[in-house]
Amino acid sequence: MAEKLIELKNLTKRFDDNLVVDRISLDIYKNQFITLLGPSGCGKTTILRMIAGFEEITDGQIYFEGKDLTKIPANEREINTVFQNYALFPHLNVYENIAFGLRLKKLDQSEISDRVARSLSMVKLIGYGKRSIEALSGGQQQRVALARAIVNRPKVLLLDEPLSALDLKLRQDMQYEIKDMQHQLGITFIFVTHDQEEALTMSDRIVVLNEGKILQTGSPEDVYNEPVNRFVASFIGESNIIPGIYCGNRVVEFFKARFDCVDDHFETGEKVDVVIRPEDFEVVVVQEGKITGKVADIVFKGVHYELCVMANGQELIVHTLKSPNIGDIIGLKVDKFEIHLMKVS
Amino acid sequence: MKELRKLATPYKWFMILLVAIPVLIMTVLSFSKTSGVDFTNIRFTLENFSKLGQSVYLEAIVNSLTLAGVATLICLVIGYPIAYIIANLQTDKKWLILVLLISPMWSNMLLRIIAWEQLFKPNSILNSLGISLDLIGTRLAVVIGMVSIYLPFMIFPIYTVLDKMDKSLLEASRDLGANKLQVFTKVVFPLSLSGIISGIIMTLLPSATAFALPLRLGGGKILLIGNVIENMFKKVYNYNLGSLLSIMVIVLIFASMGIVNRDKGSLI
Repeated sequence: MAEKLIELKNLTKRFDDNLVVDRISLDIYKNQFITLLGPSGCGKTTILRMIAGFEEITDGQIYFEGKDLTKIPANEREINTVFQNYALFPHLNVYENIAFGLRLKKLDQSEISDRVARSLSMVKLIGYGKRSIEALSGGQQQRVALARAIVNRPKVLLLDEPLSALDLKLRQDMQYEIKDMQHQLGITFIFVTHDQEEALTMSDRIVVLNEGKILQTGSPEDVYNEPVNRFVASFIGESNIIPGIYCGNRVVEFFKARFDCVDDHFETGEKVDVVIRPEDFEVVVVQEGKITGKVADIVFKGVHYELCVMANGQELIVHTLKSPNIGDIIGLKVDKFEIHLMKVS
Repeated sequence: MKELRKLATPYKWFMILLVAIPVLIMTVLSFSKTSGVDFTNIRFTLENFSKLGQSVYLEAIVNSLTLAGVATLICLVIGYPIAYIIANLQTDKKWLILVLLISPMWSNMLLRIIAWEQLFKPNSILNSLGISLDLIGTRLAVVIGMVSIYLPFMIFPIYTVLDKMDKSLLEASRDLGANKLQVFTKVVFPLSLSGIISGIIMTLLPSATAFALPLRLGGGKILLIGNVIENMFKKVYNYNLGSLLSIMVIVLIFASMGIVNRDKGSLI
């Protein structure tokens, strides 16, 4: 495993009586792209602000390379932030915005111009140095904000929902570019977002948060395929959650049928939630499927059709390349590896 | 937009009647010789300009600019910290402090000037504290009066700019390594320049053109341009020279605003 860079221990934040971050413990490793993912108000931005030093911590500790980070003021931390609204200085041009941190370090003119030029080329804004901030588009401002942060060569880059103000196409391009940048720089990125797709695309590791608590930590595949509870399952991607009973020996019963599965850490007879992703159903003729349902609705989504199937009184969302008609009775098949069981929360 | 433009109509006529037309008349008067505002025997001439060089007018203009300049500088030095402190207060009672600051402006300005006049006389209410001032007729008295009356005009524009300032800019500068002093000198101060400039204009101009204030506190010894203009209209009845001096003040004001705005462009 990589070297530990930041360690959060029982990190807690209260605003008056409002518990925003509740005893969070998390290790963040070197050269890792870690995403704090959760709905608004889950405390993800507050955690970021505590790491940056803009917010006092109520309780717990933050260690940075083994040292207590809370004793170091924000301006002396080897951490830089890309703000949600970019926070570019309106009275300075692009060059001076990027050079801001370098000038404070009193570097030579030649080194400053050299490093600014390199970071401008990294964000693909060569030749934009003399532009004023107001003359830039949202996407270009975003790039300047990135350049201004990375030019200081921080050990950690914090990104607070940096893409939320961009339109879809630009957002997708920036996702790849930021991911690329992290590879090139080889530093730790801590990325905060409420957008699960962004998190899945970019991260090495995802931390799912809700109401100030960590629900699950893992690779994008882990979090998508093995959500720990109903909240994570429904927050990340679309999913069908079906009540069932674990029958022992890797067999689960739901919709009045028994299915083989791969999870076994449950007691025989225990109630479980069964998660099946829409794309994991296979539409077959009635005789071949263990589940029978009636197509209630069908929507064309480009690559696939999205069916709404009524089965045993529950609505299931099914993605398929076939296009049955509304009212058709169909069979549904699921591979045992695609059946994921969760504790009932 | 067109709907809104209609609402400006009364204001437009107000400006034409009470500002544009009088300025036009004054311009005509400046370039002519008349008896009062009687235009029947009007004679166009530049002789009013030749009188401008007389020392009494020059002295009045220099007096106006230096005293108002000093008062404005003092207002800035006192007003900026006050505005800064109020803007950064962690309270929802800011409005109360602001109301307290403007409350003196609700009493008549002449009354406040006379109050200072009473305090500056050797025999005043201050005698009971064992203090006796004799400041009437000094430049100090005039400057104190100007500062006390125009200070709120300096505080408010600066406060507005500081209060509206995006706090994430301050965080960004901290993030990039600025200590508290550097956050102020490199971000807060440059971004509040527009407020400082508004404040300077709003204090400098009324102080430079004040006439009641120097009259009472200057004890007739300190003549500002406002007093000279007042004399031209009320005592000497030379409306032509009075108009010319007024127009000169307007030109001076616009010129200084132009210079300030140009400098603002290069500073920011």
